[in-house]
Amino acid sequence: MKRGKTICNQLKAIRRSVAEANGIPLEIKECTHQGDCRGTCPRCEAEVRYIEHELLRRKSLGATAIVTGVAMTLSLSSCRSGETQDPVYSDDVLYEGEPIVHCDSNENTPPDSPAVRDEEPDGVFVTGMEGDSFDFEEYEKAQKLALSDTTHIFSQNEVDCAPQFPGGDEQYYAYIAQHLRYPEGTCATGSVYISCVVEPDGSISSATILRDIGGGCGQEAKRLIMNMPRFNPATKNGHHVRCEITLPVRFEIY
Amino acid sequence: MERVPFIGINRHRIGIDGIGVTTLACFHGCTLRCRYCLNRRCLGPDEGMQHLTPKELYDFCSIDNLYFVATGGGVCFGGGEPLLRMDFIEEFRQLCEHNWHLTAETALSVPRDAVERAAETIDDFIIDIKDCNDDIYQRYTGHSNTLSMGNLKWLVKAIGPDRMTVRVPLIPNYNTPEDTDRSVEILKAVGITHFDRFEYTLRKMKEENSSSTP
Repeated sequence: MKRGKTICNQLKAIRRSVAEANGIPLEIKECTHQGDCRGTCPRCEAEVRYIEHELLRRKSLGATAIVTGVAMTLSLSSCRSGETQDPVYSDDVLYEGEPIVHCDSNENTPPDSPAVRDEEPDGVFVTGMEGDSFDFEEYEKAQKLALSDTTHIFSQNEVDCAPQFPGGDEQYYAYIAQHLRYPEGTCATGSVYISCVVEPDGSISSATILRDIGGGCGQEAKRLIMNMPRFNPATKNGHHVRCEITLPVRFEIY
Repeated sequence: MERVPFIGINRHRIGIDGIGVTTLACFHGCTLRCRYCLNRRCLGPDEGMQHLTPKELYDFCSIDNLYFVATGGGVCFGGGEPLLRMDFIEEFRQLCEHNWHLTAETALSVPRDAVERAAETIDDFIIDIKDCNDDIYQRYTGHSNTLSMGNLKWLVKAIGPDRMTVRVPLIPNYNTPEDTDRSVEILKAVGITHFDRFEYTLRKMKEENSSSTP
């Protein structure tokens, strides 16, 4: 069996386990793609997004998402099995086969992203399910609907281009270095993380402290983020959309 | 934090680089010069490589969060020598917290300070010790193994043997099965309990070397 197909089957089993553990209807039709592949494709990725979406929806309704470790036995490491195991540096990975994906700085898209795939294996899709069913076309339609819904907040994984501080990360950190006011009377150091929404016009809203180190650092980080210049907003299908991001603000005493 | 060069990132590695579904992120840069280096690009200039901040790598890896959490997997830092990038890894750990399992593939040929920080940050180590015989090690890597063996002894004492797997490869033209047996005995005496013994396969590299010869 080709390596990509093996990975595909294992990932499929993991998705199935998570779906079953959470009562998410998911029926996967076998992939009929015959050639080699990377083990995932846009339809596989869409299924992951669908499961994540369903987990969030159930969570918002008060249910507990059961994900942690539900598929541990499906992908146990071979590293700890002693001297009879396959080599960690297996031949097909680092010597003879497909090497690690080489990053290309000229591409904005991650190298393994489905967006840069030349071909899409056909056949991995979810077929008609009753009730709360999932259909790939429906999923795409929902994405389009979300686009037209100006109140919808996308995650960074869902957009084509994530929001960016004007000038990029270097300017972001320069801005923080210039405008951060270290709270008086504290020696707290570390990173504060702020979740916020970048609006289609680049302004920041809904800032929330995700991780605080105390001593007033969380509030200072929040103030800093809310007073930042407008970001370059996220884009999806050529539209500016609302997008939730998490920003780090590091507090260090020199 | 400044962007750091990566020679490659590979998703969906299963049972190769640690527990569960893993994304392998290979840093540029290494202290050793191994004759059969697996990722030679880590030794050359970093031009044309993708440079990422911890947040950017975190965002990229987040696409597989469901797989990581469901299988106890996460991110494996390789290279090159990942322990040269502890600032990056520490910030990455803060971003992913302990929801993702972090593994490092290292030769431990780095300053002790980096190993101490890694012990606090990394969940599991895959340690490429190569050979315990310093002559063999020097011929193969260009460096003495004094540093790496000293770090290994410190690490075993600091975190115990359960969080590490030590690779003892059979390296064609450099060591013999008897040498690797001796290495394993020495490592057992140090306290190591998990070994990965295998033989380097040179076919592809021979082709590459012959094709690069003028």
